[in-house]
Amino acid sequence: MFQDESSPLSSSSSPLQVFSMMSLSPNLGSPYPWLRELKSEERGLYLIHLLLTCANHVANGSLENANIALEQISQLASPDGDTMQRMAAYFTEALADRILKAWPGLHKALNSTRIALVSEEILVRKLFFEMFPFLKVAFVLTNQAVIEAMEGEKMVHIIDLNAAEPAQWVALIQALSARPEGQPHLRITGVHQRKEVLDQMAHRLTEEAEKLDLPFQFNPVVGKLENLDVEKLRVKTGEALAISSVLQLHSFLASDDEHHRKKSPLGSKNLNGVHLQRALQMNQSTLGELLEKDTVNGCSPSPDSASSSPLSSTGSVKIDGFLNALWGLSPKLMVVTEQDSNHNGSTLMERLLESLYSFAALFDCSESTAARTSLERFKVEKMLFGEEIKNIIACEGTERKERHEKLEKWIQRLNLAGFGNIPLSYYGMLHARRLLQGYNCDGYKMKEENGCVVICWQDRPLFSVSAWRCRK
Amino acid sequence: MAAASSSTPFFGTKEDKQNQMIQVQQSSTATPTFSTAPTTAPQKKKRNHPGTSYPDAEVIALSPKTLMATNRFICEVCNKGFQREQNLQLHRRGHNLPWKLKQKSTKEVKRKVYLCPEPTCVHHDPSKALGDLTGIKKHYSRKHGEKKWKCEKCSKRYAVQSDWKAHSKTCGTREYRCDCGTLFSRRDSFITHRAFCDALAQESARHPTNLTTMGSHYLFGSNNHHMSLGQLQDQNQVQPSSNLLRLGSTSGPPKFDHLISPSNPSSLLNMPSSMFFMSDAANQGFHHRQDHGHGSYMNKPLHGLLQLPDLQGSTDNNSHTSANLFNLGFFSNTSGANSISTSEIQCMGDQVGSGFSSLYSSTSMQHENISPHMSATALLQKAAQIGSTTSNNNASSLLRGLGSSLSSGTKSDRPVLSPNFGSNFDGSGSETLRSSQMEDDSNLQGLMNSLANGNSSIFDGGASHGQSNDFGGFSGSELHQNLAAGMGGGSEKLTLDFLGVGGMMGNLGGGFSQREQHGINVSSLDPGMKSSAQANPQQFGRAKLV
Repeated sequence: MFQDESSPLSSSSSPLQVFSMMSLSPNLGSPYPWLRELKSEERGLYLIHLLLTCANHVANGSLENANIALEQISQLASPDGDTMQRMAAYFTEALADRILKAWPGLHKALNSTRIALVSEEILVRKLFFEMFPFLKVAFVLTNQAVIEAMEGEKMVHIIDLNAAEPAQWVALIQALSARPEGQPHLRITGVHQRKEVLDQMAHRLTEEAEKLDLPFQFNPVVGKLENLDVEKLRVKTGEALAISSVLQLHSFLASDDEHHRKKSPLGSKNLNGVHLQRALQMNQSTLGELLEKDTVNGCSPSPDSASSSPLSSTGSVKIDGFLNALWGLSPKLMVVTEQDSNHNGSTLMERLLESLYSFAALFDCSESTAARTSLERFKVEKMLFGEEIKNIIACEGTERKERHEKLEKWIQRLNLAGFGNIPLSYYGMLHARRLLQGYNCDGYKMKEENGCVVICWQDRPLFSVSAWRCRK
Repeated sequence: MAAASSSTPFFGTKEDKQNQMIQVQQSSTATPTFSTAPTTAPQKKKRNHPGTSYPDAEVIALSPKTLMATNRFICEVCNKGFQREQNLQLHRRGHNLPWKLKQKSTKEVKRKVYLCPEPTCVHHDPSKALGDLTGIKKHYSRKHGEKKWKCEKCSKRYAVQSDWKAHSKTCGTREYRCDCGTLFSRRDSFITHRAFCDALAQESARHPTNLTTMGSHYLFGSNNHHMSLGQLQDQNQVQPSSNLLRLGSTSGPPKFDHLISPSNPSSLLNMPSSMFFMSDAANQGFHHRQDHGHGSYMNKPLHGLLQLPDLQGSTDNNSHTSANLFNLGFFSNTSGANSISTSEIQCMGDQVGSGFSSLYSSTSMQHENISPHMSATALLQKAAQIGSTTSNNNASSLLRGLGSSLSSGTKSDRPVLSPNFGSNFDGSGSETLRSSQMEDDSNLQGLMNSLANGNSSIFDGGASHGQSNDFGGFSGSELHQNLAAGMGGGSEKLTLDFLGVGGMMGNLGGGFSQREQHGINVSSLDPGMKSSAQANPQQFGRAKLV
């Protein structure tokens, strides 16, 4: 906290005292006069400044100051305010979560009664699909790539690495059954953690296929993607295989990040003990130097984390293994949709800065899509964006699954794994563009990069779609 | 033939040409509409006018019994009956008849036309007699006979076996089903029907949102797609579940059974969560539509979902209302589960809303300052610009840019801001404010400058990765600077604090030394530290290091 009520202060701090007293009782209802006079823009800028400062403190381990900053942000941020306020709310929640992880017992205790409502999760994903065009564009491009790759094929097998949304395959079924050379025999294998989702999908798809007389079969595979055994996919010889991965690959980059333990003061136990001993033994004049080293360790980004890094860093083992397994199935086509942002920096500040930009774009999208009072918008922001932010900011190691990376890194990875890029067709992009235009929102843009499509919001790339073939 | 034959069950399918050839003559007379002029039929066989083909034909009227008799070829010698004339001839050879009688009669065989024995039938009239015995027999069976042959796939019945055979060959193989539920075996009739189908018109009238939003939002934007979602319900209400099974492709009916059976009401228990989800969504859809009316997105996207509970419920023939579905959901199995789930969702919504309201009251400026609203992206860019432009300016301009009216001095109209900023600048600003006033200005400005430098690298680094490297260096240098600044001022206090007495820190824990201490305190797991750190979260400064 800023100060104690009973502490004697010099006269210069009397307004400070008032402020601090007000901060102790947040529900007073009487806002601080100076805060009230902040206009939305000023408030937004102030929030950004506060966020960065707070994150800086958290990265340094100076929790007291972080606490102060959090307190101030909480006066301004709100999940139902304007975009910057909402963003600040979720980012500070993430930062607070990160701080709390230094006390694992406390953290676990606070989260012990939290239950994840499956229905809500499913609903939120559906809302995301409906409210924003990103998934739809990805589906349109995927389907078009599949149709083109499967020209002339009689037996088509599609593997969906996250079979949650039937609309994608419903559209494909319709397109395939209307193709001039006749209907293929279609088989779709869907992987998902929840059996209910797969059941629903099976029902919906078989219904659609029956309506159109398309020979169709749906094979559900229940389980986590990271534990997937490719044998379960039952790929048969003689069938043309297409794999669709929508926002699934980045979680394979999560690993223990051994070298990160030394870097962040929070979350590493042994080394901080060492720090303490060294600090106690040292002269205070060298304290600054020690801390400088510490903070340098904690804050300086490793040079390889960002753009031109060698991919053989920690965490690549799992993804390589998975990509190799997929390559071993010899797919005729693999369409990869991923977030196109670098949220996998090794330090907190890096990730925070990047995610500030990306989520600013997403929250702006959300603002132009739904009203501020919209409950669905709140749900999507809280349960989807908020959770992603929390994962990016507060988690480390294997816990941190939202390891988004830029498109060029994915291109590198896929090339290394033996895949060759197939440029997405003009017709598919036309379709997608038309879809985006139908959204009546100026912000959405689509650009083409080396045969891949990047969906942007006002020049900020958000998602990328690329198509690959198995290169032997 | 083309126009009328599709609607009459009489003619089976158009693919069976044989049947048609046989039926050519009857077709003209069988259909009541064709009693006079069937001449324009595009058939291979030329049709004759009924009743006038052979004016001098011998009209034969057989009794029903004789007509339906199977053995109508009778041997004159022994009166044995045969189904076919050739069989009779073979049999007659065995009688060793004289040569003359073996031959067929030399005179021209008289043409025979037959009458239908049924008095009400149009073919009872000699002028409308049918020319073929087989034909009249079939006619009599079809029209006036009992339908003994039944198709196994569908429910159609037939009196004539050949009709039945012809139908069962094509039943289910090539059928078109309109979304209103009507089945067609012919593509042309299907298309014609669909163009005028009432159900389609009803669908579009009932779900206008589906068309407009789904159409644009759904993939491919094609018309087919956004019909289907709304019409799931209709189809399944019209047809029994057996039809669902039947309409699968011929190549995989067993597979469809396997897939469909879990979706039958009897096995709804398998997916309670999905039911709950749909019911949840449905409830929310209802809930919001009725009460709130906000969240325009609730109506449209979930409207399709609203249909799905009906889908499941209607395949069961009894009253499987959505209440039953909700029983299978997360909530208890009472008949009030429907209301419970609704109320639960309402409660959730209310709690959420109440959570909002508390936040709302504490930060009540939201609704006031909305008018010139900048997007978050623009704000970030602006912050980056500010950070970069004020790197060499006065500290006051930085603060001014950030929206406060802090003058160059620390004592200003808004004194509360400066300590805040001071604390934000790693607390060293506040510490200097408190401890040594004389160093305020210089330190503060120096710190602001350094932070501004740091800020520029922060913000610019957001866009390009390379620059974020600066930050690490910055923080280190900043700390160094702070330390130097702090050392200049309150080194005495630093020493004291560092040794952990913490006596002076009655004020903010924002003291520079405090911060280091806390940095060590918090992050270490030394039990002594931890206890002290945890004991008084608000009094970090007070903790004694034992």
